[in-house]
Amino acid sequence: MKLFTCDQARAAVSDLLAGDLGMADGRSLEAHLAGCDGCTRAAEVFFWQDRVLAELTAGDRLDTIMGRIRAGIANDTPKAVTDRVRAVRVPRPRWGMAAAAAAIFVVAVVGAIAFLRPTPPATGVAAQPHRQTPAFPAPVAPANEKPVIHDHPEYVPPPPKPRPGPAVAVEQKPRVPDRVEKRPEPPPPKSPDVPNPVKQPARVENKPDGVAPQIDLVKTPTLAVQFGVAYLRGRMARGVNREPRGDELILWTLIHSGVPESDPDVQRLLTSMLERKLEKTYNVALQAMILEDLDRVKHQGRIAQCAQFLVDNQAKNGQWGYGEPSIFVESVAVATKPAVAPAKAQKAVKEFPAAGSRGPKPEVKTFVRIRKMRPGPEGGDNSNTMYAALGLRACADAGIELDRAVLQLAYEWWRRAQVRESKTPAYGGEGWCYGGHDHGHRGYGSMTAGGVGSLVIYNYLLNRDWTRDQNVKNGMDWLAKNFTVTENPGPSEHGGRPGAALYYYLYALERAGILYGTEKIGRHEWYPRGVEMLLENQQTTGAWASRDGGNEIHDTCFAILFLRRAVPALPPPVATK
Amino acid sequence: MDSETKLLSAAKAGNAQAFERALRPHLPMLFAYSRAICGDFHAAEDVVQETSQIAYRKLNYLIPEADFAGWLKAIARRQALAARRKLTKASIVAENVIEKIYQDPTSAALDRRGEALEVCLKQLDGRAAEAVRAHYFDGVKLNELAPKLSMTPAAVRQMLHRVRLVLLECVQKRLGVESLT
Repeated sequence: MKLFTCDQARAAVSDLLAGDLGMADGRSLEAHLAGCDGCTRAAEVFFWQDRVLAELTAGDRLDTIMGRIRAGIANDTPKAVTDRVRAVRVPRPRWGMAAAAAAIFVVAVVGAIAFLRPTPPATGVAAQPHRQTPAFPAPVAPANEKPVIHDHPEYVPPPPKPRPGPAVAVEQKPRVPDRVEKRPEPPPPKSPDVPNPVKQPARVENKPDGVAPQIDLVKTPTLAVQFGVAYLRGRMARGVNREPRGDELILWTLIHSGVPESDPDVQRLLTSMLERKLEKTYNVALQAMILEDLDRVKHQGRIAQCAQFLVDNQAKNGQWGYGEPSIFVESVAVATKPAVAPAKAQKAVKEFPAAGSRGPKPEVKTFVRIRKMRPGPEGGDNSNTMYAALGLRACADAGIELDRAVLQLAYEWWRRAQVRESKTPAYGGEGWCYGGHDHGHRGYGSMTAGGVGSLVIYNYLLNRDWTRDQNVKNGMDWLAKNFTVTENPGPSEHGGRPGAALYYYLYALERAGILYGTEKIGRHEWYPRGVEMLLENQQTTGAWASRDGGNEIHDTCFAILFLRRAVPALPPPVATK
Repeated sequence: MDSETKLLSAAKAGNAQAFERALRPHLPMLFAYSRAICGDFHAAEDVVQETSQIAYRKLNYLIPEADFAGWLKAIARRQALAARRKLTKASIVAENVIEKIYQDPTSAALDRRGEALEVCLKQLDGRAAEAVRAHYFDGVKLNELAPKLSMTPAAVRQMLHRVRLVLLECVQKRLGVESLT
């Protein structure tokens, strides 16, 4: 490919606007613009000139154009534009057919091998591969069907960002001793086919306040995080995480574990994420959080696209479901700079700045207004909805101006959805479940913690004082009365057991505590208790796994995010009446 | 905006004239945007026509809180890309720049910079003015324009590039903005 100088690139922009730029020169120009801010700005000026000239042209021809439109509407016999364009149809190679044939052949061969393979002994440990629990929720069920839901551990947690404004009230650093006295010997490598024994989470009693649990100095949060990251890298290297939608969660975890952006694993996940279409709520929310955390100015365009997706996917009742692509995303400007090329490969596991030490974020100088452009579905679920809240907050932090109506509707949803539990004193307080208050289910831990965090976020975005919000208070009361770090408390929904989604719950608990701005939920010091349990239950491989089912990779991510106190705290609430 | 909302309500009830009135202010932007994407003057006019017809048929899908201009732009984008595929197999170049320039659907010709550019445009004379007029306002392609100006297509291209630089300098002088470089 020919490399352009700046002068050549600017002349090429002019040729492009004159409709006289060849394909090869087009590629060269694209490559040059990707790495040259000055020429990009020059191109913007030329395109702006072109826009003005074209608008003036259209203004001169407005009556002619309007006449054609009027005639078309009157006849309502639209003829495809593309039929009228003097087309030179370019024959395209039929790669699709060839690819399909190749795929069928491969599937047939693989199927035959699998069929002819001898059945492994049922009792053999090696015969049992890793548990295959989908990390992300299944496709959205039709609106009139009740979706079968699991308490998904697919969600990714929130990122930390220093917001402009008053100092954060919440102490950011872990209160647990983090000194490394000894480095534990790494466990011997295991065959990937041998399942890791899943430990039962040790019961950690809810000790009275003021008595912080004693933590073994050998098992520190920092070491546990390093070990967990090493596990994640190992799984990635073996290609175990075949669920591309889970990449955002892993990337979010790596970033919060102190792995630098230049790290090859981070670069690979980041590049692949930026190249993918925005399709699902969980992923898009996480993507917004990741980009806002990495560089909210450089990635503002893509973050704005995430905001457009989220806003367009808000359901009519204020919830979010799994989401569908929005065509309006394509019309939002995208950042013109590609991701930074990977620098030298670094061993990131050894680099652990303290939580929140990424440094000040670049100041947002331009603001992008995003408006809802299409109606959403009838409803969604509270799991997607809580992640949408995290994503919207990240967007707002990146200078995206969101419709107040969208925020208000989401806020109202969480208020309406709170389950009244006066008839179920066993659980006390008022919590949330996966659906609305009429969902026929009582509140439970993961959803209640997520509900509290979401309501705090919307209070914050709507400039209200969440500490005076009765729904928030009720949610915190529920969490206090049912506090535990060894199970997801409350009546398990969808046939699950208390040990299911434990780490998903813990990460939601961390968000509730940090976003609300408290180190205690009721009389319980949630962070030291959680750390104690996590250190006790990390497996020899470095992973964590819920004892009643879940995705080991995602559980590990949630555990690390808890240890790193990943969600960014909010500035103190604005006092309101 | 209130009047646009009222016009759109009437249009949803079947009032085609109300739709025309709501649509008209956005047509220049739609034309410019479509032309930027598909790269052809005449195809852009077709795109605008079809976009308008689709919008009228689908008007009931437009939610009240949505931005009408943005909605039109999204439709136009799809139509323009389809038109482009018919015209060329070359992929669109500088798409990010295009989207950024058209992010705000408000007419660029009506703001201060746009007005300054219009004034500068009137100061052009000779073959430069003729080339701009023919290329932009009449949709004449370079290879058709060159013989009329007794120039080669390459020379016309270079002239248009110089005209852009002249216009840029002129606008900067009028607005007192700092140089790009």
